[in-house]
Amino acid sequence: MRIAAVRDRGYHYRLNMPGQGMETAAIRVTGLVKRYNGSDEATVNGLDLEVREGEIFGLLGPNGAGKTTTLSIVCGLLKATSGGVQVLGEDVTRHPGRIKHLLGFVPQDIALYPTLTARENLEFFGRMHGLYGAALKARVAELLTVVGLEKSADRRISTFSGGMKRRANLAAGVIHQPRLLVLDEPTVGIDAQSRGLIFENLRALSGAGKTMVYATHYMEEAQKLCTRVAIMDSGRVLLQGPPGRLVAERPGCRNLEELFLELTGRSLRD
Amino acid sequence: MRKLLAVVWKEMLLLLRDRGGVAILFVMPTAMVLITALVQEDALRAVQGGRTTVLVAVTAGDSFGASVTQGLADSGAFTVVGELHGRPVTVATIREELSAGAHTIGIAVPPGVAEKVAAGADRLLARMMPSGMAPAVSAAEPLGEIAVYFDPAVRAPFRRAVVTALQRLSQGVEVRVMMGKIQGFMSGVTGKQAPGSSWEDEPHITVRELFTGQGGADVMPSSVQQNVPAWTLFAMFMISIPLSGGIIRERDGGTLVRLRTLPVSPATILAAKVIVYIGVCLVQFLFLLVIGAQVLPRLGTASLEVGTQYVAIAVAALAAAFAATGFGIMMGAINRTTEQSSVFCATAVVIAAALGGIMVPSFLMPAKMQLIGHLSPLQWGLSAFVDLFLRGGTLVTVLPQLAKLAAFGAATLGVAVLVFRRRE
Repeated sequence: MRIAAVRDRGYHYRLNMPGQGMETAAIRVTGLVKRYNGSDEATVNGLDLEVREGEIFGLLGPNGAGKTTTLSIVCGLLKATSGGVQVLGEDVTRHPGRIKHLLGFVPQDIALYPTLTARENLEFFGRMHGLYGAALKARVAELLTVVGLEKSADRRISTFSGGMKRRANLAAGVIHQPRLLVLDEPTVGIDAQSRGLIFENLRALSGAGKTMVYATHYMEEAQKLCTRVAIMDSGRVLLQGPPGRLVAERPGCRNLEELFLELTGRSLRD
Repeated sequence: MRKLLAVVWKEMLLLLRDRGGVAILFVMPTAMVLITALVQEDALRAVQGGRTTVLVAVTAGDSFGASVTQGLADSGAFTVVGELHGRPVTVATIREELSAGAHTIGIAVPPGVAEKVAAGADRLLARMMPSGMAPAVSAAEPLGEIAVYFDPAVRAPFRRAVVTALQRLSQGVEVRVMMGKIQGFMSGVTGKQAPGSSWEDEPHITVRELFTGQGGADVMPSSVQQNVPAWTLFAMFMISIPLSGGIIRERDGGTLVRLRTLPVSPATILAAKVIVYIGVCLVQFLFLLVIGAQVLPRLGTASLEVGTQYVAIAVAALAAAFAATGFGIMMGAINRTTEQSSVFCATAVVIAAALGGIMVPSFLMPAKMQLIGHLSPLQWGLSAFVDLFLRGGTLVTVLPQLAKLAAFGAATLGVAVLVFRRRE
């Protein structure tokens, strides 16, 4: 496999060159079941999924579909009840610690310390990944510029707008240049400008060969950004493939949102 | 190691920027130590060395009343007030003054007691002497009683002390009167009367008050000696509020989830919290000791004496800090919201403090409460510090208390780890 270093908008990756590894599975989930203690029903119920290296994979589903639980198991945060999960060749169910340096996680919550500044937050998470000294300072400065926070770097996160917090949250997830980035609703509740900048950053990451799993409620986002998507409900994958093809194969559906509603129904999910 | 230092640094920044937390850790205990030490200084002086004002109602010219009044004044414990507003104190005056809250203690001495005691001495002599030599006697009469009036707010131990002092005083006067009568009679019978050879000139047993520790130390208990270590321990355990709040905010805000995806062990994250908060407790300890030794004496109290067992004191402070930190982490693990945690921590610490003798010294509590108080980690800590500061205790003598504190810290940390794992 031919590998080259790529520098684009501050994201440095060891990149699988086009056509050289897109078929390698970054994530392979087989027969995954997760049942929480005290619950009769499985939140994830026999889920099968494959995410290839270098792609942006959209995980779509209504509330309670099992997206966050699936991502938590993939990231080693939760133990599966049964089934297999391989991430970048490692069995996460048996060795969750082995993928930690390869994985970046951008949770749905603003998982930053509100009373620390953006720079202090990024420096802290960088140190947790083994970055120190000048390399850490340079990486933090670079990322702050990439996410448009260089002028607010020394302000506390608690003083940021929603969009600024989301951008800082993304930066914290990629500080260590992970091979796989897992994003759980990274654009919830922010303005169009911040969303635009986050998309730009994600495309740059994708261009650098980064593999991403992207859970979202926004169908339009997924259609624009993702190379493939999986629509899931009740803990199972209902349909997966490139969004354009999935829409085309469904008569009467003009876009991903219509397809999503047809598959998951219009009843409210609380 | 570098990751541990990074987490320690982060914890310190978070704590320093939590103004409410810093106030709980330093401002509140400082205020507690200063206020309680100053307030109790007067009360303890009154009990230990100061004078309590008493109204005394006696009949003018009554020798027994005069002797009791003089005895009260000479005891050093009382300031005797026999006149109010230019008029002699009477039983009615005592009742009025106590009802109005102007005075707390009043004593009414019945008249003619000395004469009745002297008559009693005559009867005694008549029974002992041959009939020709016996003095003339009169029929026995009751001596009467000294009435002591108290304000209802006066505590029982103090009431008992006053009544006991009066009993001893009146018995002393009674003996003196009787001995004087007998001595006078015998001198008349024998014709011998050596000047300066009365009973009162003979040596008598005296009682001396000393406070002696195990090492022979002679430190007077004071409000400072009680309050500084007591409220320092209270402050240490109050770190549970910012500590547990920080853990809950980390969990609710999602940073704990992010931390779990990072290549850093949970033990490192937990160890950093333990290190930072033990450090904070030790800073609190030193800070409040300096207040006791340097600030309070300038405000008129005694200075804090800490003895000479510095290593033992440091180990005791470390054990108390570990127990407090473990408790705080456990509270952060088991509570679901910061509000819930704040209420639980504050309530638990106040209860443990009350039982542990922080607010009221343990020896003043009922026996049952003293027994329950032995379950309080604050009691273990306070007992160790009082041993080291006042009783000349050593590391060996306070080891049982320190072992309990360390075990409590380890147990609470263990519970926290179990809860964290269960919630994963």
